[in-house]
Amino acid sequence: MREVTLFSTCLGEELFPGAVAAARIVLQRLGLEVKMRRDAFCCGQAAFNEGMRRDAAELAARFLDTHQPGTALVVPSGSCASMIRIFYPDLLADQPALLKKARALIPWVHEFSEFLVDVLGVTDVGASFPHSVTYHPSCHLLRELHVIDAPRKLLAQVRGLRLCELPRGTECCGFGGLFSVKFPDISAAMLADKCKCIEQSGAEFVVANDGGCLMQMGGGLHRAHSRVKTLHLAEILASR
Amino acid sequence: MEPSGPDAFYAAAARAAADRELNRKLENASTRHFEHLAVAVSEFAPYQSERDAARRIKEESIERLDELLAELKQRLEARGVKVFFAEDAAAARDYIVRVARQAGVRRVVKGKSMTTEEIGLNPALEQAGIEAVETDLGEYIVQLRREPPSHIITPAIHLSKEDIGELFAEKLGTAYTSDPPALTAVARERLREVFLSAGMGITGVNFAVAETGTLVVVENEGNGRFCTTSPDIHVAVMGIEKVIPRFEDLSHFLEILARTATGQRLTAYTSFLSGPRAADDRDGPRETHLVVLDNGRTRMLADPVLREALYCLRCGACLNACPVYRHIGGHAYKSAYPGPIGSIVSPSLFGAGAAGHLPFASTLCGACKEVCPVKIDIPRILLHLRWKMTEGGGGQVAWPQAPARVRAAAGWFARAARYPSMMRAAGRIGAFLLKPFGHDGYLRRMPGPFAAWTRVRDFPVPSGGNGASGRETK
Amino acid sequence: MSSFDHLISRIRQSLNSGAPREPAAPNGAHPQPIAQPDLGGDELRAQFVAALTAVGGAAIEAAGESEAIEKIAALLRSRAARSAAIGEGITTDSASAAARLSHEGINVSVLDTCGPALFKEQLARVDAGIVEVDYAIAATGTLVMAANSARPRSLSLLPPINIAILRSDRILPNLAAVLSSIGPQNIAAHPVVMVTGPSRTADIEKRIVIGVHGPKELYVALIGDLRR
Ligand code: SF4
Repeated sequence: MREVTLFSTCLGEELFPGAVAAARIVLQRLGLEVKMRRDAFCCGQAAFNEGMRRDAAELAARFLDTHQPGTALVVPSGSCASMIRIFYPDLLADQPALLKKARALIPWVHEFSEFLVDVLGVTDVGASFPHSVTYHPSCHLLRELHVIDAPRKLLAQVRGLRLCELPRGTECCGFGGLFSVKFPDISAAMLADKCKCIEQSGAEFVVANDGGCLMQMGGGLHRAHSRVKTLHLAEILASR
Repeated sequence: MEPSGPDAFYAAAARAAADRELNRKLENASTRHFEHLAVAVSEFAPYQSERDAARRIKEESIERLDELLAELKQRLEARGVKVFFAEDAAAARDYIVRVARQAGVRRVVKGKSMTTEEIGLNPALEQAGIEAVETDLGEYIVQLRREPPSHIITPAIHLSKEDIGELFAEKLGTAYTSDPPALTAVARERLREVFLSAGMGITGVNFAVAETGTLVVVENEGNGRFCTTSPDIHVAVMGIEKVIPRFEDLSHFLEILARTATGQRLTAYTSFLSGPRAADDRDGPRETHLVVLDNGRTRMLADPVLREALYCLRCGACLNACPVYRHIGGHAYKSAYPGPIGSIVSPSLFGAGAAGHLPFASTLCGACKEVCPVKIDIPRILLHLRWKMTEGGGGQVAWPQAPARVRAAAGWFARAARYPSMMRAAGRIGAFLLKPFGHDGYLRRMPGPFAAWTRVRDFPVPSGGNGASGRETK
Repeated sequence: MSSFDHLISRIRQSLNSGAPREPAAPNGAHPQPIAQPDLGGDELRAQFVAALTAVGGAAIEAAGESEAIEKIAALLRSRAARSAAIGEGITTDSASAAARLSHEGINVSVLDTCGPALFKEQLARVDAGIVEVDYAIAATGTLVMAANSARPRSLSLLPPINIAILRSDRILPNLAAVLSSIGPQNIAAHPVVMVTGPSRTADIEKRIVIGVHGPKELYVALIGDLRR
């Protein structure tokens, strides 16, 4: 039996425990032994994105100290996975020892859907979800990690699921981390567009692989009294 | 035009973001742009490899900038072009005004040039009693409105044809029409006389070839050709980064520039200018001047990350790709260079106090770098600038109170997150306090720095760290 | 120190700070022009005509020079054009073309030795500018013209109708081919303009409008063997 480590991420721990639990179940059902990452809370993305590199580097150092290469590290969030894989080398460019650690760890870090499809080679996880669903491709997943097809392939195999096309799907939902609270007017305008497109898709559920987008779209839809609900991809894959 | 700090940006952006009509116009224009772009790219197989080629040439050009500028200067001067190197905007303005005054020029025709917007040339000319007429249709329109362009390729992108019809009726006294061909005909007729009577033409430069001393100007309307052939004096203004090594390099740039900028295979006119006219020539300028502008670009060059932004071709595609730009429009940025690339260039040229907030006004969604013909990694450079404006010694941003509090909270969070158990304890307390206010999983109002969140959307009820175990216990 | 020396020294300093400076690319290491598709004359010609039409130009096909002049005259009449200016030819005999057009009732101004100011004034009143072009690009429908005193740039700019004369063997497949045919020496000596369709704008709601400051109409008299 292979062992994997699942990193809840800060948003997963505090806001989306259902998504983390679902990811764990999906991985377990595939015969993997899942260990939870309890010694790190946050990858440092928020601080890094705000230009606070000293603080972000501290978090990155902690993250790298407590996880060794050799076991796959599954991250149920596109932006956190891209923080580690794409931006740690930037962040740690002038700290050779940490940079070396980061480079050694990077090949072991995978976003959840990418891990299932590209690493395990699985697209059918035996899930069943008799509802209409639309998929929002999160920006970091799409344009930093270039994970494009994996989530769609997984959704395509879910029994009873009807996949609806999301108009202008690749458009950002307007979250952007602290952007959402530092520039709430712009963020809200982008969110309004996204919600409109979600409604147009005709789906009952909108699914994404990133806590940030789920928070933004979920909060926007709920405020607008929409009947559409947000779900993490893992939650669909875990349902039977 | 120079930005004037975050307060003005916040006010303008909030107003523009609420303007659905502005958003509709920008969405329409950008949708049309990307439709044309998709066709242009799909029928041109080497598009991707040409992007890489163009990028490599830009890398080489910037790496050899000193040498190439020296070569360019020597070739141009050999043909009688006067080359002036301007350290800053004032030096460039003063030089151009001096040339115009000495020649007794009363009227100047201008081709579209963001570099002249950057240095504030028009007000300087007007102050010197010289009339400066913008001749690109979009620029002509915004000049009639006495406002700056809101896009580097499509200056009047924020206006509808009805807006323009009303403007012409009011300012030019023509009968109201919203028919684009009719409006265009009015501008043609008005500007013809202006072209023929102007004593000086001022244009930008798209590429300057060091090997041959050739200035390349790319345009569609023919106004660029007028500005460079009809008046007795032609002044070309370019940033130091426009020089490229070899004549043959041009093919790689020209094959992608129009396709990306407007979805055309080539623009209607590509002029390769060689300098003043020969003794027996019937047209062309008697005098040609080239103003080569630094104005902060060598500072960008000194920074190994920012340096990449000097590869920019000013094609404007990243503006249309940017959802923030499409919601707030070009004017909110209060800079000659709006949009994603503008958020890099503006703070670099005008300083952190004036424009340091702009790199933060992005979700880092990456749509810009995806379309950029020379693959500039715009999000990465924005991140670098955020660091510079925070702890990297790049100057301070005068944040208004609300975002300043958010930033303070983010710092606190990052430091606390080093201690996962402490974070989890805090999370449990927070969740305990907030849970009673939840309504089917969401909160309508949040305290402190989160208030900005719930001003516009609901917040999921915190779980108190339940996600850490991977076992949901609600 | 001159402002130039100041700038160059600032650039050197900037380049040397930050990342270590990479050696300049050795000659030949730069990207090569894209390959020229291997097309026959007929294909090039057909491709050119299609691309020209796509950008709003029109081709007038003629087997030889005299047929071309005849067709140009007919075109001018049909466009109610009374006057034309013609530049010196490259392969065509422009003096006899002028004579033929005059004979057809077109008022052809010969580009006599007037100075720039007068020339501009005269040309601005002419209905059509006729000029033979050096090259054309099949892929884009582009006309390439090097200017000189007998073929001034304004000929293809001021008159509302622009007529280009093109020998079909001057059509090259792509931009790279044209740039290499012109070569660095020639481009340094003469101003060159590439024209792709009549002047246009998309500045009002991104809608394409033909005919802004440059010509409103563009015709290409294409001389060469016709496929029959
Ligand atoms: S950054 Fe790239 S996309 Fe944006 S204007 Fe410059 S070249 Fe065009």
